[in-house]
Amino acid sequence: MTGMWAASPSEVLMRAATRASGRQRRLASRRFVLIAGLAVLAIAIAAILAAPLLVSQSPTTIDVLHPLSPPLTAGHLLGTDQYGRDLLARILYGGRIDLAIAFGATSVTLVFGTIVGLVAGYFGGWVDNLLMRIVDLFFAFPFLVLIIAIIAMLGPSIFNMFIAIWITSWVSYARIMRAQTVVAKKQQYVLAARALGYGRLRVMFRHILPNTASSVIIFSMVDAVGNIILAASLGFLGLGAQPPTPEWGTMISDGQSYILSSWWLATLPGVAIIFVGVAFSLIGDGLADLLRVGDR
Amino acid sequence: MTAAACSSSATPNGSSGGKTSTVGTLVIANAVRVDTLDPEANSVNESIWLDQNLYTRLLQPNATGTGLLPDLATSWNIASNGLKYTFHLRSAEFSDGSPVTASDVVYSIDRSRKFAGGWGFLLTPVKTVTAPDPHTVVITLSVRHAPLLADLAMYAYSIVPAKLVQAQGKAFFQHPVGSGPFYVTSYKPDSEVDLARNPHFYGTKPKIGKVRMLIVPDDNTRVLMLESKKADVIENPPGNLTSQIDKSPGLHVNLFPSTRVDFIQLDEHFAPFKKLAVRQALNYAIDRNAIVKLAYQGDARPGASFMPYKMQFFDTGIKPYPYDPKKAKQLLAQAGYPHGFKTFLITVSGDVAGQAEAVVVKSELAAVGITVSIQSYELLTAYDKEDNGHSEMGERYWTNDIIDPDEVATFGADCKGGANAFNSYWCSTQANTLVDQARIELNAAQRQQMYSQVQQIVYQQSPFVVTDYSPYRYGIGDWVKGFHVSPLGAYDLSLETLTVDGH
Amino acid sequence: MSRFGTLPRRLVHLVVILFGITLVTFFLLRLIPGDPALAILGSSYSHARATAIDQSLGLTRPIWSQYGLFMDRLFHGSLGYSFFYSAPAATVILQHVTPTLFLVLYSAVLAAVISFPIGLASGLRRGGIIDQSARVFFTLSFAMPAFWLGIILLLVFSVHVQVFPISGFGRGIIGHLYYLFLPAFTIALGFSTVLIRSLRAATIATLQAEFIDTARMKGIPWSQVLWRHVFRNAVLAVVAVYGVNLAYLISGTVLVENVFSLPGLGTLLVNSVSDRDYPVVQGVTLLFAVGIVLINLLTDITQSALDPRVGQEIGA
Repeated sequence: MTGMWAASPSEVLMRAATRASGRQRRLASRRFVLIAGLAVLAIAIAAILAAPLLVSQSPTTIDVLHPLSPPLTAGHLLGTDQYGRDLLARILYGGRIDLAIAFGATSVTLVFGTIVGLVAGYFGGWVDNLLMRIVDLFFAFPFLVLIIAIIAMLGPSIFNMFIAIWITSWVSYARIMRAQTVVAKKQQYVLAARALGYGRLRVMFRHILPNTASSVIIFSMVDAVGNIILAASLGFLGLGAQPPTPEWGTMISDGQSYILSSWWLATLPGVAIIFVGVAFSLIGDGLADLLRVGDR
Repeated sequence: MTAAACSSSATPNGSSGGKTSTVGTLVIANAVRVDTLDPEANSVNESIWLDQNLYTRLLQPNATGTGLLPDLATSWNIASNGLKYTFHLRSAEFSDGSPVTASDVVYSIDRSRKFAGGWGFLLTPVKTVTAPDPHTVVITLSVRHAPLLADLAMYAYSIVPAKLVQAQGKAFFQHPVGSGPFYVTSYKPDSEVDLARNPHFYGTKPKIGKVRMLIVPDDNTRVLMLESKKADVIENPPGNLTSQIDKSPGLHVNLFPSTRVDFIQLDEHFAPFKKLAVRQALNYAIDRNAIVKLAYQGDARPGASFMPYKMQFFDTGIKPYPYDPKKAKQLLAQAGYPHGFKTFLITVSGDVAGQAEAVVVKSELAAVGITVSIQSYELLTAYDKEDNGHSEMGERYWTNDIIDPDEVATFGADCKGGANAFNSYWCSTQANTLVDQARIELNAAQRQQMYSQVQQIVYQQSPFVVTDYSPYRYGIGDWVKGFHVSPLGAYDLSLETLTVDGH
Repeated sequence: MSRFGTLPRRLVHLVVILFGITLVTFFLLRLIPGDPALAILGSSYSHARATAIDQSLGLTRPIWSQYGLFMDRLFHGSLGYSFFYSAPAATVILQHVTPTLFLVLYSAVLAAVISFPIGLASGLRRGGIIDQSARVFFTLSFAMPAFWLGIILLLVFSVHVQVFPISGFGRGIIGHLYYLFLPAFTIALGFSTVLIRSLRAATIATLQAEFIDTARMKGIPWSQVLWRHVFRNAVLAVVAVYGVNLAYLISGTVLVENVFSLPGLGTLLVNSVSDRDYPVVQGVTLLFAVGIVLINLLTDITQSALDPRVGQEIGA
């Protein structure tokens, strides 16, 4: 749309018409974003799951004779780390943990937070008050303190990372879902359903949820990226996966000591995070464009 | 017995023969933040080393860590029964010009002694500390105490101005007044502590007028600061960069022998470790040279005796266990574990050298049938497990606070010494008796014999596996002449004489 | 977002939240294994010394009694005494506030400076060059962990190209602005992604609103329409996002502070948790919570002020 300086009625009508036909083109390009995102993610997942087929080395075998080899060394496409372990192998195997976080941590928080938000929004009254006060408490609590404390208590490990993320990340979903539910319950289709005598649970899950789910699903894509980064951050702080298990964040943290002499140790795992993160972002954007009532 | 006052510090004093003029400020980048400048409460090394620049004590360790020098006390007499020490103080002043008197000494020592959980336990036999006149301090003991002089040379017994501390309380230590070669001009414990030459210091006037101690926790940043000459000296450059620094023109890395002993703690609550044969097997199964190479880039020494090697009474006759996996397997079979067993090793997350060592240990023990799973915990969580009997193997280390072997012997060899022999719960009445006897024996030759015996017992019984002695690493610019770190980690003596050329 | 209508009610509810936070923090900390004595004694640990220390710090008293003492001190304006620094916790915290505050504000401003022009331009010319390249760039930067980005920027701009200093905080305002540019920029990039997305969406939505056409038909100059309506509505829609993310930012500076060696609150917090310096952790957590809660309040007030209708809507 180019800028227009004065609008006559006919121009306005013309614009409206152009909008309509433009919509076709834009729909296609939106789908493109979504498809691109899914494709990238598929490649990442495939590579990570097929790791044993793609690299012959194990991510944990030490090779004292070839430490800190740069990328494109014979037999080590991405080089080796301080123990001579192949970096490509570690990145591919390490991806399992980060992908597990992206899917596992996110899905649990998505489900739990959505249910809480749905219940709070639908029932209102003291239920809403209580639940939302708890949500507010979680929001106001500096999340990093909570996570550090949880992991310090339970011990650093991958599973405890999951627990820490579950405990702290469900609140955004609850808030979003509650806001959506509060608006939705006043809509025609809900009033009609209630009038027809449908039970509350059924109205919540069969009627309201499908109509409002898009917002939390889109948010979950963003959250997935956030969780990967959070897991990496915990690994960076030494609170995540423990040696010798490879995980992208821990690898960046370990590689930091070598950044001046062997930059690839800290840089390449970051590129992996970006790759997967971009995939999720694109999917999220694509879904948002597709599902949102952007163009009336 | 008297000790004459003589000063012979071993610091090499290079001449400032460079073409550039000398500069008045030394910039040191430290790796860890400072906690407090209160000698009774310090727990962080970097603040302890600062204390030694700010305050004087009755005596001080010499630069090689093997003897004591006079500090505030120029001479001292020890009664023939060994139960009374009389110290003669020199005339000295605090940085605000007020005189240091014997009552300041009495106050400081008593204060630190009484501090809950502090270093008072070192002075348990002390009955009274009195000041008969402003230049004399008398200490009486209930039993003879050989480490007394070394204890008094410790940073915790630094002399502070009684009147000021009594008046200001803890707040005094935000801008302390001491009688050391430097005083604090600016104190930001997490970013920078600035020192200036103390005009009232009794000793050699330092050639540098100022010291800026920067706190830079990030390893790489410290190295960058050295390379860009923003820092003159940096503490602990990471092992993988030391050769890079050495190769850079104008920079070098110095390794200073330390009192640090790295060891793997073994908790005898775990049945296999109760057996001597198993503990010895571990010693033969672990290749200390591999640890030195992989964890310390060759900069450490394989460990033998449990005592620091730069210390009086260290037994040089004890050699590291040889690497002999076959013998280890034999011993394990003898002990009833022909197929080995499973155990876990606690490491500290973020400890790069420790993680490397764990990897080596794991693979070497696997070769003799012992399956080790590495558990990495945050520092205090690791310590909590290890200090409270919830560990099996754990990576720990020891550093001396005093130059006398009594401290390390009490903690490491004496199961009644308070630390359960480095948390091993191993007990040898013979070792306990020897440690107790050596503490009250004032004759050096006799003490040497006793401590040698203790070291032999610990070596043979191996309640823990001594892996290596690791040095202090410092990155230093060539324009700094005379920077030297004692085995206790302190560099105050060298600050009094070093020079910083223009750069 | 759930918000009550009236200010006094909001304030009461704020206090309740802060109280809840002190309670949770207090108990959470003591559930972590290890205690300050371990930090203080290090390798010279003995049970006797540890017990003496614990007793002197009041840690051997029953936990409810400790909590009562803590709350009592809090009501009298004291945050307690730092075990690690042997100084009042409040003093210690104050010493660390400046770098973090500066960093947060600097990042917030940078983020606004980056996002507003780009977000608006993206929305105005949808599918145009700015829009497309911004999307690519920010999708990429969003997926970058802040600490990783910080390391890279440091490597490139402080080591190789030496435009910016390696670490430290600098002296004076100009010094701070110079020293903190890289860390603030690192944070601002992540922040900007979210802002740009919202601004863009809001701009697009506003442009399609009927009243825009009406205004145009009436002959109002485009620049005025742009400024009065588009811009204003876009900003309004973004205020909420800005506020939420700013609040999130407060405790998120830790990693960046770590990479750039800044002695701020984040660093203090992590160190204090490591050393089990309970009073300081409690103090910093409370401070963060107050900050977060205040920012949320401010955000809501700003929104209501800019458009009373919105205030009602979100109060639903």
